[in-house]
Amino acid sequence: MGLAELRELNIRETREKLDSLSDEVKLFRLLHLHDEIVKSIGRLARSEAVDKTDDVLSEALDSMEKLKAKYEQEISALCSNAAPRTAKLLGHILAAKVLYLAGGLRKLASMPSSKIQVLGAEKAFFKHLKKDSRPPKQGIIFQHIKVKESENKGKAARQLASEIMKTARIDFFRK
Amino acid sequence: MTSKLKSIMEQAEVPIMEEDIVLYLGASHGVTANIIAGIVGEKGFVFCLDLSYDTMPELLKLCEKNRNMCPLLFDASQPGQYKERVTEVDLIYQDLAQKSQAGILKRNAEMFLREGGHFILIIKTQSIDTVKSPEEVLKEVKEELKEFEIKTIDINRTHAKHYAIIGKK
Repeated sequence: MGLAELRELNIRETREKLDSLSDEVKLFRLLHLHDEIVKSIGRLARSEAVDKTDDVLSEALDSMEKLKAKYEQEISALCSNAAPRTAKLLGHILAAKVLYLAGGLRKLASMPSSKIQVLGAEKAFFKHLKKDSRPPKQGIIFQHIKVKESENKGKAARQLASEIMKTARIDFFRK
Repeated sequence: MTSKLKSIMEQAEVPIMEEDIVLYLGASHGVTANIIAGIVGEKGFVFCLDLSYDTMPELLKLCEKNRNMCPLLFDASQPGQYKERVTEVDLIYQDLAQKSQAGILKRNAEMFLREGGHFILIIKTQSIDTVKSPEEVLKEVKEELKEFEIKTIDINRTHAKHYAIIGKK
């Protein structure tokens, strides 16, 4: 086979591979981009070096907000397709984060609720296992408004985690 | 930040000739691969291999523009998977952040490098062992590659804890 033909073949194959990414991988990549843009908006808005009344800056912030909204829309579409009930329970962005930390719906569906409760608090959790520190009460699900604003956060986190466990299993096994 | 290739070129003669066919392992965004494609010219060719789905779109775009480059989305540690996608090459350029860098190079050189062809290996000592000192890691890699004629180049000045090895099969 000549080099030109080989080149055509390789380009075509690579493009197919990129297109055939599963929805979950696409979701995780979008989540990463979303995270980056949220960080940069925060960095710009918080920085003391920039002039807050600058027109160009506010324009840039506006377009970044638009980009963020676009990512959020795409994430919602993918997430409500991959795990509809979990997405409805948690909200799309948080559901995507939980899926990412679990490593996919298959793994999330096979997790006990106690593991789901401390997803994202691995550092505190393993510190507890190795040393004598107290166990974490909640991980990433702290971002859910019911947990955040509850008076008894540990209880709310435990209950929410068990709900996530149920919805994730229904999402995975009822297809 | 200068390119690693440039750092090597400042200290030694690099065996990249015009009309060479090159296998580039760990092409990433394709910056250095593009430079090599410029050196080998129209009649040469560069196979750019990388595993990452994140950097591949950019590399793919670059390869569509240049007529002497093509992308490969494979794992460099398993050359059997892409043996039908690559021809015999004159040069292997490897820049991977893997633990078994020397082993990967040996396997690829065995399958694709022609007799008398050269290779350029960039050793990232921190990917191999963070506890041992870079010099010790370099010694181990050299031990693994003793079947080839090799020449070591120290590029610590521009890239901390990196070495380059130029060798001949």
